Amino acid sequence: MTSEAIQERLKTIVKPYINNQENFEKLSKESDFINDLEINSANLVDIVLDVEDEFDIRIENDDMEKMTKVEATVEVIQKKLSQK
Amino acid sequence: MIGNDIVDLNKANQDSNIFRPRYLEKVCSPEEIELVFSSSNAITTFWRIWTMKESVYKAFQRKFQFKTVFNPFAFVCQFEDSDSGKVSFKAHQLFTKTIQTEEFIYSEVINSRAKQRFFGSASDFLQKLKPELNLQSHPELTKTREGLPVLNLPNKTLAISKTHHGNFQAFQY
Repeated sequence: MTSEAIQERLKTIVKPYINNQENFEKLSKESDFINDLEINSANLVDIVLDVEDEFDIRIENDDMEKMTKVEATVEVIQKKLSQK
Repeated sequence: MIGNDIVDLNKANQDSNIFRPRYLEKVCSPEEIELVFSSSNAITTFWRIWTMKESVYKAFQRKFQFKTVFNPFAFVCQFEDSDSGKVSFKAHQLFTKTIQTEEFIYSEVINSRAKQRFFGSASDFLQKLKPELNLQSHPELTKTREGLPVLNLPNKTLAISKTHHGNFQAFQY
């Protein structure tokens, strides 16, 4: 799957948790879940689990800790998909 | 060191299902999961652990200036009594105090220099600070390069820890 396609699906996953609509609409690789999208940190767990369900992968702690930005999250997903 | 975190229990119950498969395992050690399930209220005990980890994370992030990471596992919680707790991060330890009501759970890092806390909106907080700090005008909340909240005063920068979730906001300074 291309990183663009993953990013599109990730955008749908994070949508219910965002608190900054304007930054969500212009979501890019550089977007930061907490600082830009103003997602509450409690919901980062939900995002990790939603990503696991959506892509049918399992994410360990070492990878989870990188998942605070769009680009790093897409990279983790891509890596996990390639290992399937 | 300062660091605080608040969880609006109504909002948390709407947004997050902590009993969802794998949820607790993403955040808690086996020992912490044991604390959750051996308590009289698993949900509030979980959010107590969560706010303890978050408040200590914020304190260490400010001290060590690390980039945002999401590693709740690195912060290991122990309960001392119903409101005091201890959180270990690598070789470091900090003590926390937790305040629980029907509506929210709030934890903060205990600071020896008798730091203050304020529950309420940012504008009310700044309003309160103006006379307290003898300021001519309203102080302005800004962020450091790392994204940590500070107050720029005429002669110094005052570190502020702020937390906002649902209907509740709190500041430690």
